Formats: sequence, structure tokens, C-alpha cells
Amino acid sequence: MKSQTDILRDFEDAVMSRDPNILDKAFQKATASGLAMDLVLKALTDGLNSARMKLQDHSSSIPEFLLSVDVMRQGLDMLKTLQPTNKDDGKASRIIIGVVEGDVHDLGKNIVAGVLQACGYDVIDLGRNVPPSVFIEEAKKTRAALVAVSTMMSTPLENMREVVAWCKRDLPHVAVLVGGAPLDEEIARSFGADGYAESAVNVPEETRRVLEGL
Amino acid sequence: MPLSDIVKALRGGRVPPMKQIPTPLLNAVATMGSIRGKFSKLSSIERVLTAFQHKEPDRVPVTPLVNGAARQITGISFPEYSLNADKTAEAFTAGFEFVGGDLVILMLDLSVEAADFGQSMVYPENSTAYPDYSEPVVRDTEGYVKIRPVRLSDAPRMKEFVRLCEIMAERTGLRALVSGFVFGPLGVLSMMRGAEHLFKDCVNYPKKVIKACETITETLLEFVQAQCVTGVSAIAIDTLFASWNGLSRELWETIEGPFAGEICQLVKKNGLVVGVHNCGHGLYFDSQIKFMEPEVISFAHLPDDCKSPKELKERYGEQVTLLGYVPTPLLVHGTPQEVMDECRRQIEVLGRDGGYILAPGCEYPPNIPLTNAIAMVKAAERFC
Repeated sequence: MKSQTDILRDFEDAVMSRDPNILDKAFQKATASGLAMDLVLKALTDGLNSARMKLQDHSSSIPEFLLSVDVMRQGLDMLKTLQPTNKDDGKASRIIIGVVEGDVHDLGKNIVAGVLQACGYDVIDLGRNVPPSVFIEEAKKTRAALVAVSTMMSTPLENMREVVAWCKRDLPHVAVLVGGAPLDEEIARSFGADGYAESAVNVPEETRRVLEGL
Repeated sequence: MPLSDIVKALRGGRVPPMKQIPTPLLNAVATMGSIRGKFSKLSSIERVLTAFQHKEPDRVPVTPLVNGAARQITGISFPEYSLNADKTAEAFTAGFEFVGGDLVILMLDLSVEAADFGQSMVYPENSTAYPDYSEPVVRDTEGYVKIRPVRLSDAPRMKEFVRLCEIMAERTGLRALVSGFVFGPLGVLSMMRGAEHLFKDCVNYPKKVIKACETITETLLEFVQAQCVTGVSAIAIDTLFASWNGLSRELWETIEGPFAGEICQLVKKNGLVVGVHNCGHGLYFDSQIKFMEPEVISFAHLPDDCKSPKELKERYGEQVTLLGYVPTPLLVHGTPQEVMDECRRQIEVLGRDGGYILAPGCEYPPNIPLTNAIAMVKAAERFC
């Protein structure tokens, strides 16, 4: 019989090694041994953070990281079946994320969404090619704390600027985070955004910083 | 290639296939260019050829990659730019004549090949064409083995692109070198499957992805061969996935490397220059050189094994001609002065001893004013 520490290590390994089979087995053992779910969540998050660090130091690449995010998401879904979360309990900050209208490159956005979800945020993914007005409406409707906007192309930058401007005008209490290839920190600031996510590697720290500044 | 054929091509206003010119002759022309360049202005072709031979021309050659952005000069729409070779050629010509430059690279958009494999495309009026990912050709992993090669005769977009090469090679004549373009097999596949699924499938089902690359390459070889006989001097292949934000080095070498190499061998067999375009982060210069043996690499970011442009020049400057790498954000948001300052910094580090062409890291952003493209050309003229 594995100790609880071993089971938690298995959860971490499952995410790191991108192996859903390890996750399944760990989950069965965790259920049987009555392992506290918050410890499981921490182990999963630690696994994803390790995968993130491997990505940062170039010892892994995007496909491997994507598969780690998938295993992490599966783990989160498993946790939900045991301990359903109340969407309105106010514990997790809610984040609206999407690729701005005019662009369909959603790989970066999907990775960031996965990482944010893994960090415990309540992420609402609007998908790609999202008109500026939809970001604002959804942020209002869901009482989001942060709107995260992405684009890989230079052509929709005006739409991104519009999302930031409308958000600042209509929802001054909501923070805006932007990211994507045609941007850098200075440009993000010139748009009026509260933060700039260079990649999935720095997005948890930047999100925390921005939300703490609200 | 006999000297008489070279002279005949030049008299006919055409650039002879450069790699068929005997190397001693190319070197002699480049040496002459380098010497003459100290006293007088070279032609664009002399300048590029001298740089290719890793000798210093009169100034650094420049290509501002004003491709889609040149629509603004002739007033055509994005769909016309993607689909009508005559109108596209007018735009490319206008870009070349209005902004300037020493090399024309026919990077159109990345949807050409995938569209002919049956991928449904969206052609927005005000932005670049992109795949309709709600209708991917490859819906699941079984879809990879169902892909069939497409003959060029049944490929309207590729045929139209070949026609663009013909028009541009003839129209540009001896004023500048013109390069064709092909998206590598994994790039084409990403348009038919979606990048995220493809990435995961490369890890989980590499054999299926390789099978699809093999089929796609069969078509790309015919496409590239058709471009090679249009009078263009080079073919650039886009191998975006050979980078840190693409596949791991090992995976790229296993999956796409051999097919990309096959395409480049065909280009070389035709006597043309092989160019590689890769705007990924931390790209694998060494792997791409190993498989494709390019003469030129166009890049937007430093390779994974170099920490500075100086190190890049030292490590790879003698093996390939470097083409780049003015950042897209700077072109979009910077002032012409800021762009010129950046160009000067790059010329100082990368231009030494030839083997460098100033260019944006990727296509000049299509919807911004042309001012910063002009700033790049001015910088090349000013900072010798």
C-alpha cells in the first residue's frame, strides 16, 4: 500500500510525465485512502509548475507542455466530481480569456488558459476571433476580475486596443492582461493594459501581480 | 553552366540559376563587387550576390518584405492578394518600386498549399487568409493516413502562385533577385489539423504524422519544381516547427527534417539558392543546416544556441547568409527613427564580412503604414 506522500508524488509525476494512466491510478488510490483534495490539487499544480520550468529552461518544448496541461485538466475534472465547486463562492478570481477578433491562432491562449486554470482561477474561455464587445459583455455578466486578450497577428491589434479601452472605460475595476507575438511590455502599457504575459511561463506571476494591484 | 549560357541569360534580362554558375566565377564576381563597392554603387543583384559569397558589398542588402502591406499601394483587397496572381504581382511590384529593396521574397500567405489539399479557408477583406478550423481536413488521428497527394494541375492556388513567380521573375528581370516560397509539410499539416492537435499528435502518433508529411511532400515537390523553372533565383522553405515554440529538436529531426531536406535537394538540383524562413523562438539553426543545407536563413529571434547576435554571427555567419531580424513589435509601434536605430545596431553586428541581408524577422505587418519599411531601406543605404 502506497503512502499518501507517494500518491501525491504520483499525481505530480502524472502531470510532469504527461501520463493519464498514472493519473487514473493515483486518483483511485487517493479516493480509497481518503486523501484530502486540496493536497491533490497542490500536487497537480506542483507537477504543472515543474513542467513550466522545464519549458522555461528549454529542456522541453510546447507539445510536451500541452500534454502536461491536458493531464492537469483531467486531474481538475476528477477533483470536481468529488468536490464540486460553487462557481459563485467568490474564492477563485474569475478570468475571461480569448483571442481577439481577426485572429484564429489560439494555441498560446489555450496554454495560458490551462495554466491559469491549473493555478486555481475560474477561467472562462471565449475561444478565438472574439469581438471586443463580447469580452466586455462577458466580463460584466460573469463579474470577472480579469480579462486576458491574445493575438498572434499584427492585423487585429486595433481590436485588442479597443478591448483594453472599453474595459478601462466601462469596467474600471477589471484588470486587463494582454499577450501575443506582436506585443511587448512597453506596447502593452501603451495600450493601457495592466499586465503583459510574455508566455505561459510567466503568466501565473503576472496574473497574481495584476490582481493584487486591483 | 557554360559561360555562354550565363551571358545569354543575362542578355535576355534573366538571372541565371546562381548555383549553376561555377563557384570560382561567383567568387570572382563577388570579389570584384566588394572592391568596386568601395568606390561606387552596386546593382541589387551584385550586392546580394556579394553578400551571399560572404564578402562586403557597397552596403548591406535589404529586403523590407513589403508583401501583403503592398496592397495599400495598389488598393487591392486581401482576397485579391491571395487569389489573383496578376493583382498580387502588381502589389509586389509596387512594393518593390515604391519602398525599395534588393531582393523580392514571394511570401504570400500560409494558406496556399493547405487550400489545395481541400482545407476550407476564410478570406477576410481586411486581414490575411486563414483556415476555417471548424472544418479541418484532418479531424482525428486517422485523418493523417487519408490524405492523398494533389497534382499541381488540380491545385488552383499553387498554380496561381507559380504564375506569380513567373510574372515577378520576368517583371523584375535584372533589377533584383526573386525568391519563391513553400510552406514545409508540417506547416501545411498544421493548417489542416490545427496546431494544438498536431503538436500533441507529433508526440503521441509520430508515425501517422510522418505518413501525412510524406504524402504532402510528394505534392510540395511538384509545386517546388514548377516554381524552380519560372526564373526565380531562390526558393524559401518555411520550417516554423524547427524551433523551441514548435517541436523539440529530436522530434523535428525525426518528423519534418528529412522531408524538408528532400525539398531543398530538389531546389539545389535546379541550381537555385535555398532559403529557410523560420520566425519561431529559439530556432534550431544547426538542425536546419544539417537537413536542408540552406544558403540563407531568415529569422525573427535568436537560435536556441546563441545568446546574442554577436554569438550568432560568430557561430553561423560563415555557414549561411543571415536574413533578419527587425522585430515586428518595433515595426508596428516604433517610430522611423527607432527602426533606423535598430537597423544600425543589427548592421554593425551582423553585416561584417558580408553574409547578411537586413530584413524584418517576418513579413512586414500588412495593415500598418509603409513608413517603417522605408526607414529600413534608408537605414541600409545610410549605415554602410
